[in-house]
Amino acid sequence: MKFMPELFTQSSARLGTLSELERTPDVVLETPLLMLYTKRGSVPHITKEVLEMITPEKLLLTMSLPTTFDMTDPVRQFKSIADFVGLKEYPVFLTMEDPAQPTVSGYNDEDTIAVWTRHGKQIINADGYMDIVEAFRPDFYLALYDSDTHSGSSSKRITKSVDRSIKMLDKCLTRHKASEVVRNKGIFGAVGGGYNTTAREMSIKNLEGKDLAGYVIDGLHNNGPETEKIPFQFVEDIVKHTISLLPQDKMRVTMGAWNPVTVINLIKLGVDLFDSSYPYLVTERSCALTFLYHHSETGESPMISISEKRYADDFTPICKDCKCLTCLNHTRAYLHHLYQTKELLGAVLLMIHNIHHYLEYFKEIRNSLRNGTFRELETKIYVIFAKNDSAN
Amino acid sequence: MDRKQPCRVPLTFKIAETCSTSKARTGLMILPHHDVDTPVFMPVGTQGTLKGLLPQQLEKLDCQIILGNTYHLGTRPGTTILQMAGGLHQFMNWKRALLTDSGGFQMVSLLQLAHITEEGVTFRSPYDGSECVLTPEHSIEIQNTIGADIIMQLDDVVHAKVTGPRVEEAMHRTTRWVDRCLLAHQKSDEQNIFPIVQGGLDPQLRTESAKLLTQRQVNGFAIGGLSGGESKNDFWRMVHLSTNVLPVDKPRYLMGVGFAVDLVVCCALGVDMFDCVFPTRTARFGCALIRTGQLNLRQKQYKYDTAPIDDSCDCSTCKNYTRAYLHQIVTQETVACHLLSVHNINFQLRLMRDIRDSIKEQTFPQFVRKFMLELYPDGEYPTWITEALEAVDIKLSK
Repeated sequence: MKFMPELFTQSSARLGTLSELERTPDVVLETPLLMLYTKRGSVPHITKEVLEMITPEKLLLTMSLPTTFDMTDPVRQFKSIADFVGLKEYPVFLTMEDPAQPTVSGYNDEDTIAVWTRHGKQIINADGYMDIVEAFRPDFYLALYDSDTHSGSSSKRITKSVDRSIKMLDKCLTRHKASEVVRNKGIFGAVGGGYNTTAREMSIKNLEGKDLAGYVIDGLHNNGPETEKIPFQFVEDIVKHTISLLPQDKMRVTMGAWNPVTVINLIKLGVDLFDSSYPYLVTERSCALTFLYHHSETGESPMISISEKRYADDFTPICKDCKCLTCLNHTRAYLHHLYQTKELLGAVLLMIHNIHHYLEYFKEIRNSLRNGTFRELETKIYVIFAKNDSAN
Repeated sequence: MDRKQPCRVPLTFKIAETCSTSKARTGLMILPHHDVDTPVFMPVGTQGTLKGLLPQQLEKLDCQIILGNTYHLGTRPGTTILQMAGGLHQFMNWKRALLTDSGGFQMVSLLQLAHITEEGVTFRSPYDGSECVLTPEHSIEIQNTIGADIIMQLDDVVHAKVTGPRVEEAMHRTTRWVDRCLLAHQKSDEQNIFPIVQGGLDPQLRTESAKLLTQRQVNGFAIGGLSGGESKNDFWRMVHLSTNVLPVDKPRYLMGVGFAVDLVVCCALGVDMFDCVFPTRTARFGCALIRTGQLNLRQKQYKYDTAPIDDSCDCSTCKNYTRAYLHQIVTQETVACHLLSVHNINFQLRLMRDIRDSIKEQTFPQFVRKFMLELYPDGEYPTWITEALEAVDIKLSK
C-alpha cells in the first residue's frame, strides 16, 4: 500500500493518491476520496451491474462490523469479504460502526465492545475482532477501540475510552504483525477523546510510533442522520488541533454523514477520506441532491424532495446538466410516480443520482485544489447552503 | 426499419418454423416499437416499472416486450400525466414493445364492490366512494393514452369455477364488447386490439367464442379466463381447443400463465405469448427459479453454498453472486430483490429462447422430453402433462 499526499501552502488541505494495494494492485485512488458506503456488503439499492454503470472506477468500499458480523463464518470459505459479497475488484475498508445508523450507547466494557447486529447484541474483544478481520481480509481496517463518546460525554468516560482503546490497539497490532493473511493490509488507529483537548492529545500520544496506515478521527458523533446537522464550527477546533498533532504522511479519515459544507471544511483542515452515508440518507428521505448544478439560476434548494406534488407533471430531469444515468433517462415526474407507488426503482434511481452527485462533488474539490480555486468552490457551497435551511 | 414512421399495419406476424410433430411454432411479431421473437414470455411491470430494474438492464437481458396494467396506470400517474408525457413509453423511458390489459380483470379482483352490467364494470371509487363505470370505450380511451403496442379488449371475466348461464352470458357480452372496443379505438395504425376468448371451461362455449371473435378484423387473439384456479385437466383442454379454432397466421396470447412447465406444454399446444407476475413476485420472497424447480434462498442450507444460483445461467447475478451471499441479504436488502428479479427474468427468457431454437431445429419434442425428465427425474409425470402432450403427438420417455 502506498499513500502519497501532496501538500499546499495556502491551507492544510491536501491532494493525494492511494495505490499499490495488495489484493487490487491496479486500483489507484485520488484523495480527498469518497468511499462508498455499504450495508450488509452491498451499496444500498445498487447491484454490481448498476454500480458499474454509475462509475467504472473501483472505489474503496466501507463495510461496517454491525452489518457484516453475521457473515463471518461463510466468508471463511472465500478469499475475502469482497469476494463473498460479489465485489472482488473493489478494495474494502472495515469500520466498526455503521455511519448511517445511530450507535447504541452504554454497552462497551473494559476490554470488550458491543456490536449491534440484526440478531441483537454481540460482545467481542480484540482477539475475537482479529478473528473476524482474518476471515474478512479487508484491504484496510480499523483497530478495535471504544468509540462510545460524543459531545456530551464526561471527561471521566472519555479518559476511560482512551485507556481502553490503546490496550485493544496493542492487542490488534500484535495479532496484525503475526498474521500471514492481514499483515500486508493497512491497519488504522482511532483517535478518540471526544471534544476534550487533553484526552485527544493523550489518544494521539498513545498512537505515536505505532505502525499504522492512517488515523480515524472519531468520537465526534454517534452516527446516523444526526451527524448531518453538526455545523462545522462545532467540530472545527477539536479537529484542527487533532490534525496538527498527526503525522503528514498518513491518511486521515472522518466517518459519518457530514453535510457537504462540513465536508469541504474538513477537507480544508486536512482530512483525506469520507464515506457516502450522506447521499444514502438523502435517498432514504426520497430527496435528490442538486447543490452542484444551476443553483443560482433556478433558485432551488441544495436538494429537492421528489415526494412533492409539484413534480407530478415536471418532465425535466433532476438536474438538466447532470450526466448521471437517472438524469439522462428519467424525469422528475417519473421519479415522483415511483415515489407515489412505492416502487423499488425509485430508490435505485435516486441512489444512482445521489452517489454520482457526491462523487462529482469530490471530483470538483480535487480539481479546485489542483487549480487553486478551492476558495471559490468553498464560497459557492457555503452560499448555496446558507440560503437554505434544508441542509442543516 | 425506421421506427418513427407509423406502420399502416401495427402488427406483422411471420412464422419461421412450425414443429412437424406438435402445434408449436416460432416466428417474429413486428410491432411499432420493437420486433418480438415468439413464443415469448412478457415480464409484468404493473405500474410503469419492472420491479427495481432499469430499462437498460432489461435490454441487456434481451427482453423485447413488457406488460403494464391499465387499472393501476389509469389511477397513478393517471391519464392526464401520461398524456402530457406522450404515453407510457416516454414516461418510463422504455423503447421496446409494450402490452396493456383492459383494467377489467384487475377491478373485479381488487375491488370488492365491482360488478358487471351491459354498460361496463361498475365499481365504487376507492378514493371518494362515488360510483364509476369502466366501459369498453373508456378502457380503450385509457389504453390509447398509455400507447402500448398491443392493447386488450374489456372482457366480462367470470371466475374459472363458475358454471351455468353466467358463463354463456359473459361469453356473449365479451363478443359484444369487442365490437364496442374496436369502434372506440382511435389509433388503429399504431396499436393492436386483441379480443379475448372466453367461455369458461365449457368446450362448446369456448369454441363458439373463438369462432365469433375470429370473424373480427384483428391482428391477434388472447385466451382468457384460465389460470384462475381451475384443474390442470380442464386448463390444457381449453387451451388446446382454443388454438384449434384460432387462425394459424395470427399470434395467440395465453393470459396470466408463466410457470415453466405450463410454458413448455402450452407452446406445444400452439400458444405464442405469455405473461405472469410469478417470476418477479417470487424473487421478492427470496426464491430463485431453476430448471428443476426453485431455490428458497432463505433456507439455512444455503449459508455455506459457494455456488451461483445456476452454474449454466449467463445472467449478471449468476456471474457475480453466490447462494451464500444471497442467503445473507434476501428479504433484508432491496439489492437481493433486484438480483433475483434479474435471474428469474433471465430464466424465463432463456427457457423461451431454448424453446424457439428447438422448434427452429425441429427438435422441439426432444426438448420437451428432456425438460420434463429433468423436472420429474423419476418419470412420474402428472397425468395432465402426459395427456396434453399426447394430444399433440409428443410422448414422454420413462
